[in-house]
Amino acid sequence: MKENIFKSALLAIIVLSISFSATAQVWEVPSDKKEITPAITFSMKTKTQGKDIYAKSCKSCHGDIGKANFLPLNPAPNDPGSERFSNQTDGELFFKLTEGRGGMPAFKSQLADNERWAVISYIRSFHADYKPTGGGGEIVEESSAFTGTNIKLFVNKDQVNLEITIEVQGNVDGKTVSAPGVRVGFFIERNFGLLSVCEPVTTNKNGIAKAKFPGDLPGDSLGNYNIIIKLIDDDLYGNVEYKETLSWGKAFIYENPIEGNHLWGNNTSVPLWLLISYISVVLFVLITIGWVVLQMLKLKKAGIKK
Amino acid sequence: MSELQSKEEARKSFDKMAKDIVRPMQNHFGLNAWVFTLFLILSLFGYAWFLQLRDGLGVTGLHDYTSWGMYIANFVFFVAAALVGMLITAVLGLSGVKWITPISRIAEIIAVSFAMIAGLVIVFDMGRPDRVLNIFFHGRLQSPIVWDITVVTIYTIISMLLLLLPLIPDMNIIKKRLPKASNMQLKMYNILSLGWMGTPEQYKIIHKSIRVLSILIIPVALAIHTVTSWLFASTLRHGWDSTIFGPYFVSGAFVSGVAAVIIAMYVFRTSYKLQDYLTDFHFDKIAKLLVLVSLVYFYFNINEFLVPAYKMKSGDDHHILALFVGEWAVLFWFAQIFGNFVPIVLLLFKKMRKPGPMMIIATLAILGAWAKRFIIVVPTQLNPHLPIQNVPDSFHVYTPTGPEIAITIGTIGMALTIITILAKIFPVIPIWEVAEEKGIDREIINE
Repeated sequence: MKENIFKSALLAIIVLSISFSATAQVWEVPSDKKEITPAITFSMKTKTQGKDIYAKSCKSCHGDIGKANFLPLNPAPNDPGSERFSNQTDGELFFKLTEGRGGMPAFKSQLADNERWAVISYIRSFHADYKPTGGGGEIVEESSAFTGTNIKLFVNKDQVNLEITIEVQGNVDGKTVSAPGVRVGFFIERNFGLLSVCEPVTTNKNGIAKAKFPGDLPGDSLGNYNIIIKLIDDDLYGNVEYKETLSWGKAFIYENPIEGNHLWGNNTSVPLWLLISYISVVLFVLITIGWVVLQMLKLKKAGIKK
Repeated sequence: MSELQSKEEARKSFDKMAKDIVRPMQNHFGLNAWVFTLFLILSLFGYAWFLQLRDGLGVTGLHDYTSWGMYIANFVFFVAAALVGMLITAVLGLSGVKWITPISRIAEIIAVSFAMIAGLVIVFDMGRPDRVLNIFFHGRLQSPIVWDITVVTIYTIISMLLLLLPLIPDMNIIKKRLPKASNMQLKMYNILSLGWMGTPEQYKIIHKSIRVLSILIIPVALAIHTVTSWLFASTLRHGWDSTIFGPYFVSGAFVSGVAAVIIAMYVFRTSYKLQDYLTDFHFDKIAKLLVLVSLVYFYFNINEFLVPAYKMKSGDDHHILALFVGEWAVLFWFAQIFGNFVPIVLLLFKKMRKPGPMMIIATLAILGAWAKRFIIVVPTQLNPHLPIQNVPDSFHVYTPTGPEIAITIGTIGMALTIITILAKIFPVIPIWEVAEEKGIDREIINE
């Protein structure tokens, strides 16, 4: 009996180690996990939520879905729009996203279950052949999303409160109407990209969205900066944006750390204190030496006199 | 020697003294062999330098990481030992210490030759010596390297003046006592004696000038070695990022300088037969001086190594362990034991404070001092803040090559050559000062 336990334990260890070394090559997902189905119903809303999460947490390695511009890492992160992903079950994707492996982080501690499913719903929107599994996995087009065309932005600025109100309008059946449920982003142009002023704002039923700008953002030397207001869902509405230069920022005077007289400057910009110290010390010493040389001449004269 | 002597006796004793000191300038047993040795060393140097000039610094063991190697260690060593001129002539001279009188010229000769060679070593450290001019065209006053060039030059000038000034009365003495001297040599003595007649006014001028220079050389000498230490300490690197590097270097300088003077005293005493002037008394005194400066240096070593070792800051720990028990341990402990500890312990015994044993102790101390400069310069560069990676394997270590060692030995040969020449054309003991101390009348000295 004891021997049997020992044997089976040994067998278990061998099997485990083989399966472990196998996972090092192919990412095996336990079969019970494979079968898991989405806990949420995929919808435009979950897709949008997933898109935002993807942009923050996934894009840096996986790149833009469908463009195969993922980072050249080993193992490769791959493009979630590719067959490699579309061939997997919802359960497999969820497991991998949850547990992570190697360079792929485990997101179970960073994203809630629903958020992870939202990311999958976004990824699934790129898989043409995707057939919803189980109960919930179906993309429902929500009626709340505005479906008009020829979207226009009308901008109102409140100079006193540094507040911008925009009205979004679009064409529905040839008529211009206010566009509700459109997500609008407010940004300020910085050197290396766009700075979000606030979370994206969804227009209300009158097509209006508001954002308040902080008063202490650095602008150029006159306090100017460029604002950019644009629709987040450019895949729905095309690239609609509004750009303007405002003088709402704080004047920021850039001081070049190399200009001026500093210890780290070049030989023409010596700090004054250093120049004075150096010259005065060296002069003092040289004058003293010169005095001694004069004394030596005097010594010679004193000898001749006698 | 305070008892009054009759004039005749005084004259006789002064004559004997002058003869004793001047004689080896013309008759010197073993000089040819010595000059030949120096010639060999310098020829070897010439060939090695030719190789380095032709092929560049690639002939040395220097590389991207260890860009300061044996040359800079050697430079620091020469600057260090040169400080002894200031210690003997200025610090001890101004405080009225009498026993240094016959030693002071030896100390000055060492100071002049070592300071000159220190400047030259920097030129040999450069693959393109012509670029030394860039320091004048493009030097940044903010850089310790510019300060270093300034003080090394000034220290050399002051040391030369401090060698020449006390020589003036001696020139007058020796020019009558050198029958074999050539006309040119006599002419040189004539010029250098600056028409010395021994008038009270001349005495006044010479004493005043020496005193002023002695005062001036103290801050300059402190500056030269402090600035040399700042070449290292003004960086953030492990082992160099230290606030006490200035005094640590200066105290170490006195150890190597005094050891160098002891060796020179021994050599001149035996080969120039100056036993009556460089007596056991002088050796005993300078041995005690070596103990004193070694103790000060010991104190700074404790601060420099034990305080960081107590903290073991990350990064510093690698450096300290490499020195204490790692790849540098042999050299490190050799430097600490022979360059510092042994002189302190052995010279406490009276039996050891004799010329023979002191010669051995001082030689060990000099070797230790040289090794210590190597330990200060090289290991830090092999332990940079960013790990050494993606480079040839040879960059992980520093091994001086043949030409590098030959050039380094060559610079030592040059220093010895200068000392030899100076000791051949000038008396190594200041005759007039020693005579004055013996109470011999100025009239007899300047006859």
